[in-house]
Amino acid sequence: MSTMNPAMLEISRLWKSFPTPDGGQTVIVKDFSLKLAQGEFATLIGHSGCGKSTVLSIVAGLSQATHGGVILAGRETDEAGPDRGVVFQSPCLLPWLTAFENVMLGVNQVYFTASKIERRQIAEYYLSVVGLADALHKRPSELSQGMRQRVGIARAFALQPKMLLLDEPFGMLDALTRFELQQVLLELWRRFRITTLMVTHDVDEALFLSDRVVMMTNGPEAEVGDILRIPFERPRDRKQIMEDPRYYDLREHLITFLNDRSHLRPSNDPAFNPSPDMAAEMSASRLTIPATAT
Amino acid sequence: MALIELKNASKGYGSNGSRNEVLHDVNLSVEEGEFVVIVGYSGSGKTTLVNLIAGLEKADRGEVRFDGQPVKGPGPDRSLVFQNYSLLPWLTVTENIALAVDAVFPSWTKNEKSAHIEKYIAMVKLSHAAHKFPKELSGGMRQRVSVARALSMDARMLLLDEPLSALDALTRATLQDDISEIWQRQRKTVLWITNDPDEALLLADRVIPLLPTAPATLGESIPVNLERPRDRKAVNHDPRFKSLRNELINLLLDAKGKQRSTVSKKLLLPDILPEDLNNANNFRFLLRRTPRRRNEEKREEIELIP
Repeated sequence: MSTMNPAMLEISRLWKSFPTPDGGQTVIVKDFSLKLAQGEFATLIGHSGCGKSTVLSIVAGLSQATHGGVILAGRETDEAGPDRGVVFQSPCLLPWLTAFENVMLGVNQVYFTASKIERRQIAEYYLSVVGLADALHKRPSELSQGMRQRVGIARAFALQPKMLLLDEPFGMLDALTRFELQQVLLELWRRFRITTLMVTHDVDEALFLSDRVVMMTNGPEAEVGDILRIPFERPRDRKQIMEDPRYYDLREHLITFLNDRSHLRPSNDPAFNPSPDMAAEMSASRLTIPATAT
Repeated sequence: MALIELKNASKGYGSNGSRNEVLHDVNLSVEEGEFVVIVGYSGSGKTTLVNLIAGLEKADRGEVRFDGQPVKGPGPDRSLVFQNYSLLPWLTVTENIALAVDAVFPSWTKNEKSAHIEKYIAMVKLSHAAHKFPKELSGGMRQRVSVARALSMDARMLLLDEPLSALDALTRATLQDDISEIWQRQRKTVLWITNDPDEALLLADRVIPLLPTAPATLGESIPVNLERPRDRKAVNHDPRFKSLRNELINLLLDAKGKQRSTVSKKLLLPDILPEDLNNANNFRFLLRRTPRRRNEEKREEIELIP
């Protein structure tokens, strides 16, 4: 992913704070900047409560930034819309509609100029690709947790959004089902190359799926702690990646950050030595790099 | 002689017409003092297996033996820990554990019993919360109570059915370390069921995959010859751990791959672009009756063979 590509998403100096009862402000997210290239898959990783989901919901337009802005495909955006497909931790399906009808809800919205047959074909296509060809007309209550999340993924992709926003999409699944769904997601992403921002706290998931992993420091006042580029070639194969000698080094790097360094703030840490990716991101957003890093 | 032995045990549910076999010809033997972990997908029959050994259910075919004797029902020689803690909400931590101790050691004096209970509460590091009620405890603390209760019975075998699955990653890690430390002191026979390959490799002497064939069967067991105590950070560098991890995950993923249904159908994806509803200047669709297409001719057709 070259930096020459125009940015699909630019999060510029984003702050989010809430007023406290005593008249002060609690800063949740502090000066968060990030650029995603067209077709890039980036992951936000950090501990629970560090503000990852806050960033994602601001990008989704479900929550407003206190300062700073979100620029999507060259246009500032501050409200929700079908140009961003969102998948939450729980699939949020309407329980009285079948899997097919749940997907059709969104499809009817954005393809209203298409014929009914074509709209049905679209919904059927995406549901089949995620492996639900024989469960199209089942209601959520008849589907397992993993299958429901597949519907959620199909629903997001069917809209052909400019961006995909995934908020711990596999957090509620067991380890093995999670592996399967990561494969499904990666396969769809490979086919449609939709720019994706995912939030997770699963190190293996971040490594397997992303081009870049953005590590966030612990909240409140969460900021970007460091950025790691994942060098594995695509299409990726889990077996191959797990046998790659670099895999466990990268894994170790992320785990060490989460265990030992996530409470350190780069802006206050004199020994902070940003990775090249982090430095590029910082200079692009005109943030100050600590003097020791130069 | 093995402490637990299953020979060609099968179990299914439902009556003749719609009978659904869950476990088929399961063979398992666990030696005294061994820590065995069974890893499998949700819904693949792990809990049924625990229930057979615990004596909560009877095998349809085959044998389940404990210490050479056929298992006829639950008993205090096999203590259980469930995913949902199963504590009585109107009893404190101490009282919940006392319930088990009273049942297993009825002849003990009051003082003996309370010393015994205290010992186990201290072992799971809950002395400060001994008089709290379950609702006042976090999920991790509740599961500690449940573990203390199981240990306090001094059973010959501990059966744990996904004990940590309901907890978040950090709590899970601390509990894994604590339980592993307790086990190293006591060396009880343990059968631990989980869906997490990493948990299995950190804890077990031997890992057995439960393969999601329908009905499920047990795969070849994988011995884990890593020294204890196992440090969760250090094992990441251990080439033996890495290769065991790869072996186990691949085995389970491959088994799932084979089991997939073979629906085959032809799909058509119309090459239509979505309308841009976010951009008010761009409401050009008002001027046309048909959708935008990337290419008028192009339609993607794929043959779906999962």
